[in-house]
Amino acid sequence: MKDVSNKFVIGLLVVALLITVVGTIVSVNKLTLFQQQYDFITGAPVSTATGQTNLTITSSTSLTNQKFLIDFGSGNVNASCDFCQMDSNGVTASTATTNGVNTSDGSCCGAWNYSQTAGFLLENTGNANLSIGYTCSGNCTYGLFIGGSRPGGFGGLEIKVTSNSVASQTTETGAADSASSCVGGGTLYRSGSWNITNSSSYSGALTEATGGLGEAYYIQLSSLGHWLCGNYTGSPLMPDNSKDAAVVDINVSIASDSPATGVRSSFTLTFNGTSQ
Amino acid sequence: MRDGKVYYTPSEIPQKDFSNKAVLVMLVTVIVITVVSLILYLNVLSKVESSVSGVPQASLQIQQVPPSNPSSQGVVGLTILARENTVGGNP
Repeated sequence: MKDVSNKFVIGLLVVALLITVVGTIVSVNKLTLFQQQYDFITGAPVSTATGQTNLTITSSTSLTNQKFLIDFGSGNVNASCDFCQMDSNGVTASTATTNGVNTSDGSCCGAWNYSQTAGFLLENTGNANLSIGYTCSGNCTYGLFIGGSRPGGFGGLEIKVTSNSVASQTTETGAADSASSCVGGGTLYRSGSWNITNSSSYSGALTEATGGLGEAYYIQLSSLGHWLCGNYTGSPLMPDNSKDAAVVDINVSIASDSPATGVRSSFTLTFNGTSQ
Repeated sequence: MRDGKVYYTPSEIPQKDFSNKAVLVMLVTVIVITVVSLILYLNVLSKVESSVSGVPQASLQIQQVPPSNPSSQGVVGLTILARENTVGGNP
């Protein structure tokens, strides 16, 4: 084989040199551009060996009451009656006595606004489970709010809680409830449903004396307040639109000997939401 | 060969060529430049790697802010008016 000349070898070396230099320039250039581009990627760490992204999810708790005032108006018990009974839901009482009258009648309730159609509509409008309780200020007992002889067979001043899937009040913020609210919480807070109680014991019979009453039962208003759903250790009222609301109804029975109030007698219920 | 000189025909005249020394210098030059280029490239590459090496190690921290305790109020009111001609009630 014929030897190649040094000139030819030099030529090859020059070509190799050019390829090396051009390749290096192109590579370094591309790497530099990549680095600069990466600096503008949001969230990409650029100054430390490790990166950390913080994401804060705020738990929003919100409890709304769609009806602020239940006003039974002004009136007195008709002379022929022993009492007048009224309810915020307008439902007829089943235990009317001879001289009493049901809310739908009105013949004993005179000018009072006995045709109420809505109670306090409580709704969990946040994104976290809640426990619900109430406290009361003002004339929170029968003696203070109404006075006189409490009609036999009636509580005088009572509250009741009902899931809105049953009560069906129509002013919910979200979609109307289709399932019972305040359920599935376990035995610590009466897994059945709403439960009016201020007892710390959740075993035994469900009675007013031992621990409160469950959903859709009337119980006397307490100046100390009650838990209505859950307690400090469990919050079963979910924020799901299909089961996040309930109605608190007020029932009053006014005896014929109840003294005139002069000015409006009132009490304020503050419904408190608690979330663990 | 005549007169002690070498005479070539036109086709036999030798082409001028680089010396081996020149080839050696060129070879060394190529090697040096290659090494320098490699060092430069690796240097830039390490910088880029340090810039993006945090991505696979990035951690996500989720913090849940403790909720507040919301409340809402409702008022119940009624007025009992005095009733006339009543014996023992609503004076």
